[in-house]
Amino acid sequence: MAGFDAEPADFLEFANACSGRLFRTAWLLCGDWHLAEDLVQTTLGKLYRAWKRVSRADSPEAYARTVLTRTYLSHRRRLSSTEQPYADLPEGSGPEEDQALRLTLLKSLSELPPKDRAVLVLRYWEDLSVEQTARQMGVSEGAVRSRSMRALEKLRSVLGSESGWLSAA
Amino acid sequence: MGSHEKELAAAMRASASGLVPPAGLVSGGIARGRRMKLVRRFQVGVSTAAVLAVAGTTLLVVSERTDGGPGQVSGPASPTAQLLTSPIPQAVPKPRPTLSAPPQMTPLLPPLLLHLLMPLLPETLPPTRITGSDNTDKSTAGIHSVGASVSLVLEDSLGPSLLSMSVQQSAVVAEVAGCPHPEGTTKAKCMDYGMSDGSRVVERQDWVYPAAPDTPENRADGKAGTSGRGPQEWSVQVVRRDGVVITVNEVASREEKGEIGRPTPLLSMDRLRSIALAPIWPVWVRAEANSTAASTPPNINYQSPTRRDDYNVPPSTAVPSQTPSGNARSENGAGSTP
Repeated sequence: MAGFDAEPADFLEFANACSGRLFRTAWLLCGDWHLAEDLVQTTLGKLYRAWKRVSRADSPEAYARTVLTRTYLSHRRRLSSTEQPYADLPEGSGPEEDQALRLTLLKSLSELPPKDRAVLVLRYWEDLSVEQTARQMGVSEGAVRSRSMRALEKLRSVLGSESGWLSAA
Repeated sequence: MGSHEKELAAAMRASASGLVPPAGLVSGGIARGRRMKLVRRFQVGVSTAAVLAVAGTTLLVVSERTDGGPGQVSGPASPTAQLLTSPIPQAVPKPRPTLSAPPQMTPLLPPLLLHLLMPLLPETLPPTRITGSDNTDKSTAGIHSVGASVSLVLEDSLGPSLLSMSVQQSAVVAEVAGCPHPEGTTKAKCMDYGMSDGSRVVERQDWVYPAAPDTPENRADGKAGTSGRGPQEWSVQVVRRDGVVITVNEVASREEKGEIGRPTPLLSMDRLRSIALAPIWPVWVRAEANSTAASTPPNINYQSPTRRDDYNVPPSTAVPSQTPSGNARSENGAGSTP
């Protein structure tokens, strides 16, 4: 009988285990808490819908990451406006060091085109190889290399001497 | 990896590793997955009807899966396809509590809910984009929860507003989400109070992306500020003593998480409250009432996780397109923002 019977136990286990990591990746991709939540829930929804097939994949985690990345890129394509999800700190507020770093990172990442940003997040947050990144994004390895170089160069120019990281060589 | 790349990787780890993900990611994901399955099944049903109409003699059988979800078809139905999904053996599910249906009564369905709601809406604003969902959760063990929901768009000269309403009763009484503990000041409003008849009411005036206190952490996490973000979202939820939960929700947009359609939702909080507290919301009704509503305009196109013949009601029909009058006055006066 159709209906909302108990969820597959292995899906729940998988989703509980990987949702935190997916959320952090989504947050780095989009720089927005609520959109990251949306992206992860959409990703989990897609995995839930196809769980029988996904659970037989070699790496459901990699599959989930691919779905998340493509959901993000698809979302960005649909956006008509270019909302800036980060906010400047008001004068006088004294954020902690890591919070300041978050803002600087988000602000600099937001200057990048979505695909360039995705390349950086997959390469340097998920620690994927060029080949893996290319497979996840559905692009060539050459495209990953060129996007990566261009994105790093852009970050250096955006940050200038503001930050200790990625300062101009 | 060069030094700059290492710095970037370290910055990403330092920024993101400490984030505490919001609660409800998994349950929200499952809810979306269920909706996707329902929509898919609905689309397959529509395709099937079209195919049958053209081919005439083609049989397309989409059997239901036995793993707890509706059947899935991996591609569009072909005119000559005959798709049979064999039952898959499964472990014995845990027993789930069930509701007892009153004699001769059946669960409320969206058409009747719509017909009960219509007289409470402004007469001058014909609703458009009417959709619904039969939320009754049923298995071979019985009915675990019963209810229906409808949503529609009301529009006046200021813009569209999406109104959603649901009536639900579950065998397992879920804890009602009251107002959040205040961790700081925002421009959102929330009231949680009891009625003399024992009902509990939660009223919210917030934004689709909820307002968050202005703290360094919330700013760094990219949360919406004290004024929220997106269209305003107002709601009234009533939990009656008999366990029936009535939720009326309104978004100042044409669609969920859509563009801002107007400054504030069209119906006032007073109107939402009066709808939610109206003593007319059943979850069990006579089958004839469902049938009559389903055959009386305005019609509603709705999805159901259960087979239609279970409840012996006519199939739903498409929603006729209607044009809003566009010159009625909003109920919201100035200063009604949360």
